[in-house]
Amino acid sequence: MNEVVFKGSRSGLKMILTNTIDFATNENLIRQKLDASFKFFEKGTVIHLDADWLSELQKEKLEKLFDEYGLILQNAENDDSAENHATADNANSDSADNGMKMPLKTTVINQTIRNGQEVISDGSVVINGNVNPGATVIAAGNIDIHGACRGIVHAGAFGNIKATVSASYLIPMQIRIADMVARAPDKCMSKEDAPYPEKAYVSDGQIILEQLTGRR
Amino acid sequence: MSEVIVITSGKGGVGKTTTTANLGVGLAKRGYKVVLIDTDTGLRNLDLLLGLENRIMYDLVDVATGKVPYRKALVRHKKHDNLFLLPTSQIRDKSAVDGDQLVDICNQMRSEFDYILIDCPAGIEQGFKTAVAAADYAIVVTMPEISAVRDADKIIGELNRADKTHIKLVVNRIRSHMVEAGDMLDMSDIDDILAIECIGQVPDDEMVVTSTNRGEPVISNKKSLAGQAYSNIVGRICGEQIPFLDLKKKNLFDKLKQMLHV
Repeated sequence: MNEVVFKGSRSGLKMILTNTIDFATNENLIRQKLDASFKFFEKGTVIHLDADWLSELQKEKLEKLFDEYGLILQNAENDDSAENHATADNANSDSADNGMKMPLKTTVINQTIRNGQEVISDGSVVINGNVNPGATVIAAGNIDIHGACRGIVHAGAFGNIKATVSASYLIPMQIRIADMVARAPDKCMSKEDAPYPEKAYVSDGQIILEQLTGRR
Repeated sequence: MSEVIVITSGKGGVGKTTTTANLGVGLAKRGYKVVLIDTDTGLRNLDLLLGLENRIMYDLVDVATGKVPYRKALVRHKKHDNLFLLPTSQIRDKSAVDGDQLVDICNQMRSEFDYILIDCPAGIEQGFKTAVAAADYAIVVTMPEISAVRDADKIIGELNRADKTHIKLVVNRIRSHMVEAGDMLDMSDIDDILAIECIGQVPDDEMVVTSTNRGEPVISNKKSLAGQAYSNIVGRICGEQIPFLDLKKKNLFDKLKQMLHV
């Protein structure tokens, strides 16, 4: 039964067909699989097709078959180009930041984030207040805190290694940028340990803290 | 005009019940009509601190379920005629009373009492949600200790989530010599994190323990520094401007200096 395989990848679900058996059998196998896992796939799920040996007509047939189950079948070629696009965006996040393609939204929060509270954003976050110990801020973009940062901050949470964290008092429990983690020293940190505003970013595979010049 | 105040902390053992009992007695001494509601169902203590355990007939659960009117469950304090306790059940658990029921009880009491103080159980579960539901404002009790301050921070977040934004802070059990030595958090450290108005700084005092065991809140004891601190909190609740006590331990030399006014 390994002729039809559903596989998860970074860009979503993929269906891989082998060309050792004829199309009719493949079609039957797919139907069996979909029947067996009907509840598993949510309606509207996009599945990419990885079988370029199929003719256009056959692909159309499969698309109709998936449509019966409320699923969407897409050609893998389109998906490949989409993925390429995504990596290009990542490598060149400055242009994305400039709002050329998909501008990152910024969430502004005018209150203190307290112990046990969590902020998650698919854009950047600006906090006018403190981030207390035990609080978590997660953002796809940058995190800017106008106050003391004592909690856990995760910038570029979806892989943007160029994301930064800045705060008036940067004394967090942990700083995470993309897939990197830096933790605070074991000694108790106070405001005196961060006498000036700082910015954290990744350079040479390390999280670096740098003094920000300007107002506090 | 009556006010419903919830006394809460998140962490256990910081002195919610002690604070409730003392503020209750303090407000009653000033002539206000006060009722204390214990919502720590299953682990009730407030009656012990007031020395009223042997007078309990009905409890909060009976009132909430409509078995008796609230007046029947109230216990009058033996020394202060205008101080009442609404005890809770020791047999049932926190799920026995919900927020709406407590709101209902408080609304019935508002016309009769000046102050309704609610003693909240530790934790952030059902008991907390019930206790907080009816409150006009909250007093968060904490201790100069990292875990207590963390939990107070969490509780302030939870109170905000329940739309309670009027929150005051009481810092309990301060050991001045440890603060001076830098072994305990000082007020500025606490204020830095919690950032809410502080209406009380109460020193750690052995007399609190003895008075608890005797069932007479320490506020009645003129000699106790903690008692004085509680009286000051009562004053601040009533809207007076009172400076905080100097909690530094005075040695003989300091005392002599004070006596000679130098």
